[in-house]
Amino acid sequence: MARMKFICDAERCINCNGCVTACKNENEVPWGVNRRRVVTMNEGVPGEKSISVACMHCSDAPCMAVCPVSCFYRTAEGVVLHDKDVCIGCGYCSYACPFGAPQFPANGEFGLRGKMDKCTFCAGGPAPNGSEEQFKEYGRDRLAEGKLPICAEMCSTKALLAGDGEVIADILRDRVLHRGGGAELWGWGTAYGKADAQSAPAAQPAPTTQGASS
Amino acid sequence: MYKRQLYHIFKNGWEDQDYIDARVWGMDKVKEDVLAKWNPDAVKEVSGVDGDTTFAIAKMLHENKPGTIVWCMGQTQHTIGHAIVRASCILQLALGNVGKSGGGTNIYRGHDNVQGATDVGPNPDSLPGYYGVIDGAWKHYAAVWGVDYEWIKGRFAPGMMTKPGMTVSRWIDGVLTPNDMVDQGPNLRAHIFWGHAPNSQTRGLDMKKAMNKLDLLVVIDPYPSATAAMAAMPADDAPLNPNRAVYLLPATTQFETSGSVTASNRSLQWREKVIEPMFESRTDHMIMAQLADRLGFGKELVKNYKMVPGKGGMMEPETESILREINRAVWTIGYTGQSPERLKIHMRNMHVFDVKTLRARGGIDKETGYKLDGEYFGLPWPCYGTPELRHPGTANLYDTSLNVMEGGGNFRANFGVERDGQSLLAADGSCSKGADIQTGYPEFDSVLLKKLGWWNELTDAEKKAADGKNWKTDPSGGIIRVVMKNHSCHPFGNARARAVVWNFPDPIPQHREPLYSVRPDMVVKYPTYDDKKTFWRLPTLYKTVQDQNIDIVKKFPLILTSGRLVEYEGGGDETRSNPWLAELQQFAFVQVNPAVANDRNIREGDDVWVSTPTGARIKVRARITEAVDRSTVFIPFHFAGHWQGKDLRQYYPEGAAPIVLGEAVNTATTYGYDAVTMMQETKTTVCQLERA
Amino acid sequence: MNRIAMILSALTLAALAGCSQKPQTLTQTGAPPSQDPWMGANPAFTEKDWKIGDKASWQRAIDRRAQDQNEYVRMR
Repeated sequence: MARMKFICDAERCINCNGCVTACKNENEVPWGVNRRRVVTMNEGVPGEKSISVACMHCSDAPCMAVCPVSCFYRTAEGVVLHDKDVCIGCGYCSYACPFGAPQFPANGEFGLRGKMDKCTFCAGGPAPNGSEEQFKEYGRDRLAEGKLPICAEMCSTKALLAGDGEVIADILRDRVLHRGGGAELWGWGTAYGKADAQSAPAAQPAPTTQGASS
Repeated sequence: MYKRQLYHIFKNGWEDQDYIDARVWGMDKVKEDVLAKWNPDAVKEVSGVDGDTTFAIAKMLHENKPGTIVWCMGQTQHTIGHAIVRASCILQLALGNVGKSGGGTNIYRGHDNVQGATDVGPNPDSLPGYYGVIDGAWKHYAAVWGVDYEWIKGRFAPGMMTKPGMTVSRWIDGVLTPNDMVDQGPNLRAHIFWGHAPNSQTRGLDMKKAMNKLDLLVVIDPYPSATAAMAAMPADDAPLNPNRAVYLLPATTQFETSGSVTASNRSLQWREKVIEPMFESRTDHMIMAQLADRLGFGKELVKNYKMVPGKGGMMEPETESILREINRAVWTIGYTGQSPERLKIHMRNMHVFDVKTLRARGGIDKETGYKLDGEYFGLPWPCYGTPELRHPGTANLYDTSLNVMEGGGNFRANFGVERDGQSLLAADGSCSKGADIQTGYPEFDSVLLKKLGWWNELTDAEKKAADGKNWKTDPSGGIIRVVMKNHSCHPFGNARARAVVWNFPDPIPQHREPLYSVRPDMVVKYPTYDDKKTFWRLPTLYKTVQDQNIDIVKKFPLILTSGRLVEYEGGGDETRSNPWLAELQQFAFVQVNPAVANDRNIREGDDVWVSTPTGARIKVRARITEAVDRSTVFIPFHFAGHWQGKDLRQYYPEGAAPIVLGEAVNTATTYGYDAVTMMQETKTTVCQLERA
Repeated sequence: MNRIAMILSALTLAALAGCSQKPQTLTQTGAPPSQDPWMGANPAFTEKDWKIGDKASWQRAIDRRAQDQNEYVRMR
């Protein structure tokens, strides 16, 4: 069974915001609601990294766990969606989510709330596939058209990958093998020490296999 | 920077001597100059980059070949822009990287079809295809257009037809400069902004004065653009010509019309119309045809075009016809093989092209049975000869490893055959693959063909057309056909690339400080050029401005540079009207280093006044970041609609103002122009910041 | 006695049914409200490379499409 996931390869993300713009346009997301954002760390210094973040469609979703009206559900493909007609706009999901995925239209000092909105993996919501009603409330249903989320399909560098978790994990693994991972692999330094080995690309030895395969 | 790399390359013997001996002229003089002047200390002083780093870069270039250099405006928007570009070419020649797949010097164009526009359009010193404006060029085009040469000549004031005109960067001086100093009869009195925004040009204060002085100002654009508001806003220091007439003509976007477009890699694509022209907009070519009608030469303009009904049933040139006329005209850079048919076939069969080499691997077009094998996607120019010749396009220029009919080439013989007693032609044995002539040779004309005994390979019709002509003016394409197909030679000759450009102000690139520099000591050591009395019809100052501003650092201690953002494009009015993009960049800003900000009590998000030597003061938001160092601030140029702190929203036509307005950095930028191209010096001027 | 018990339970059942009370668990159980994606959407916009209603066929098509993000496959 498919288990839909996103991976953003921080080695490739160039902070172009193509994913953000694509999502906005495809789903006609109103001003102030940001289903997807690109976060840049260490801007302007060696080791600058960007990563595109939206809902991670967690297997054990904290938003779902805390919702007092149980408006969340998970589809057979692992996509976490919610029913806006049930949502009471309490904001608990927003507190619970480590990625800031639940969005509320902002207004004034304390916000306006209203119905929570978030990334749907371009899978719409609880309404007939591709219907007018579904588009108005939740945006596009690309999965039902046999397509993947527009953010990943538009990514200019294919940093952002979307699809079945095993499939895209394989793609990333292929990529890492080609470009040489090891100590420079994303996050290795933080997890296993030698943090400076991770942040200086110039320290990478000239990869001998790269010329042949690329 | 390049002189520094060259120093290390020459010092360590890393240059490709065989390549230089075979294909380059003048490198020995460059080597002398570099080794004498550009030791690591000199380098650090000019660039701020230390010797170890420049050595490491040189070593990296040497050990990883081929390498390529890519730039946009960073190299060109300086008074020495032409020299910087030249230096990158010299570096690549020294390394033997030019004419190699993965090598070369490559310009990354800033906008869709800028390349195409430059190739066939608006250069004030040239007819389409870089033919120039000499008599021979006009005669060639008169023949192509099918109009009488004398008639065209008669439409120009005496002496103007062959005189390069004014550049867009100086239009304001064309209006404002006292008439006796302008190298043409009257000043500029009318100006058309055709798909162009005012805020991408420097010296906004002067521009407002010029805009107010005009008799006629026309904006042709899908959006009214900043021009509309800038023209309408009141200004005390810019007297308004009471007779000034301003017109806004709505033009279509690229989606509302079809046509060919050229990308940074010289490939052409054919675009289809996806939506009918909206509102009252008309296509650019319809507007052009209608304007020509009003001015009395409409018939001549569209003589060779099929006219088709467009918006509202009004007739307009068919875009295929326009491309076909270009195909018949532009032999120089090979815009002749890319017929509408071939381009459309490519567009229908994109999947057969290998994404790395851009070459078709087999493929037969279903509709026409055309075989695509071996063609490069989009037939990148030069695609020589007639479409019937089926030249595949040229992926990489000057590549001797390929036959000319496979997209191969060599350096052109454009500058004569000898200089200073040395031959400018390529060395014996240096030629494109399979060429019948294995030594250097000049460019081809009917005379040379006869000498070689190849003249009879032309058909009778081709002979008639080509006699007395050269490969660039032969309307049959026969010379090109025989030279390339029958003999695998290159029509533009086989010569050496020049490392020394004798017709440039500095034949070997030298460093010269910008007109507004924060280093008076460097100005003394590396002064700018002498003033030019007449340059592209206008007096152009260098030394005077630099001398006047030698101590400018005392009042304006920060280097101000400007450039692009991902979210916006050009003048920005169109993209700032897009809600998705506008939300991503809501304010005009200045990137400030934390130390610079702290010295001025500026915090993140504060409004800041940026002042420059022009007297302008613009108000932008501070973005504190390490992305700029302590000596530099960066402001993106895409904003408009604020003017020195004032909001101009009310001056836009009703409902047509973009979502996001902001200060245009070019309201405040200063005088300074490249000594060969007249490109504005937008990459380096000076400013001061203060918290608002 | 049995009869009364039966009537009482029937009445209780009826009363409870009238509450339409939701399950007290925090996470949803039961079928999700969304339509399954392999049922397709507007035919004008739906890709033609899978069979509507066939879950396995949809999954294969989606997985193949995911490979468009992999240049090592696209560039062969």
